[in-house]
Amino acid sequence: MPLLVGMCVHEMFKSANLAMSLCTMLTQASIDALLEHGSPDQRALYLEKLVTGEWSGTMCLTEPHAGSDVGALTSKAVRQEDGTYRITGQKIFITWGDQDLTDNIVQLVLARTPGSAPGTKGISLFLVPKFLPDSSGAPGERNSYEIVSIEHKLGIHGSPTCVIEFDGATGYLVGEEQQGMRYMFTMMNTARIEVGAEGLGVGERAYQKALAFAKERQQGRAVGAEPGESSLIIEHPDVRRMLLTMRALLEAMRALLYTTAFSVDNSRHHSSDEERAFHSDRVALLTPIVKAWLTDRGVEIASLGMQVHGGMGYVEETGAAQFYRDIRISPIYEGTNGIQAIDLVLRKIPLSSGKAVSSLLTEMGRTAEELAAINQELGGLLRAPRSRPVDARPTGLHSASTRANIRTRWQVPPPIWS
Amino acid sequence: MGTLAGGWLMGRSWIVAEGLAAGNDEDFLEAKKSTASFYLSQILPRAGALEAAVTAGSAPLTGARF
Repeated sequence: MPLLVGMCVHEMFKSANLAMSLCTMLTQASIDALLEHGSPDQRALYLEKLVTGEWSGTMCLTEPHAGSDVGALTSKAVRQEDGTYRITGQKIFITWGDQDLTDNIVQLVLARTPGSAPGTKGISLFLVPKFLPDSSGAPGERNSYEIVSIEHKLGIHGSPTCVIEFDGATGYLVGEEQQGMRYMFTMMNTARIEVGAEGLGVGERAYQKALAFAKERQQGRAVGAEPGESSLIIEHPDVRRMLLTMRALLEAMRALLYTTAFSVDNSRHHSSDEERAFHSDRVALLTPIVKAWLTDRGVEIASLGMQVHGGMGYVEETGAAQFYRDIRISPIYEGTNGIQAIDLVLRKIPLSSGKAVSSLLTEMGRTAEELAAINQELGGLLRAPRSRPVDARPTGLHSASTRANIRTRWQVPPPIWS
Repeated sequence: MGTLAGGWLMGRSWIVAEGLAAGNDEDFLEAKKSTASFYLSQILPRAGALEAAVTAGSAPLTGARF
């Protein structure tokens, strides 16, 4: 299914229940990992069960001292004579790390083999099933790892976040040794777009709830209402401002998410090499923006949703508080939004010698001119962020990249709107 | 960048909605245009403020004492 279509469906899952949606999202990531990098035997044994949802998947990256700095992880994987590995170490923040909804759980674990390179380069990826499949593929012997605890969190209470102690667990190498980070990155890019979609999904739910509340709650007299009349709060200008802010942000977020998903599909399936390369760069550039902007705005929207409810939103009975708690994780996990900013400035803006960003900015400029031709006022607003002296942005970008000691020479993007 | 990209796509939405106006779901298209206008006048200005902050240099960060 095209990601563009998938995204529309995923958005609804996330609106319905963010905690539950994480189980299917991680299972999808496991499917992608095995499709791309798994052996034919691994694919035959695991893929169908994961696709049907009979089994679920997880991602075991984080350790107590290796969060944003994944390269600091120390879990060990020692090769056995039969070709399997013994996995030892503690993993934390494992989303849906254990549950009894599925017959088996496929833990995908990052660990180090003896003598591997330091940092992210020496990390390998292992498949560690909860129950080792027997000869017929059915769940058999229980693997040797324990769930040490389940975290108490601000939100997503329906999602079990586990601390897992691997104690010589049986693991199967995925792909080749010391390629784990590379494999993980192929999945993380799609996962980051998915997490961006959480901001949209939860935000949409918060908006619908706030809108319905504003249409039935009566408080105070709106401007122009008869004396003694109690008005619906949607008649009050500040409530309208909040609802419109939520709606306008959501529509822009949705447009950006779908535009990115469209480019993902084209980067994979377009018949022209040139188009695939163009869309691949576009996806690389937009991914950190989608992740960080949509999740930050999701928090803003959920907060506004609570504000529309007033005190009723701060107590639990309306449900508005849950959206605010649930979405607060999204700017944090799957690479904090600070990590996304680093990715954007240091890796994505210099991408293809700056062509990825300059082509996007040129396209934005064309839209501003096109809009100005039919509606001068709106076109002017779209030009406005660029009304500062035209050399401000290139200078800023250029010096930022120089400070970061990027050696790639890249073209400074032309002024956007002029 | 997100706020700016949002403005770009809301601008596109307005243009497309305007082009489709005749004979289509007019309520939907009018709502789309009014939401796009709201975005451009009420939310997009954030981008200019952010640009000023982003290009102000690193001294306010590196010079601070904790």
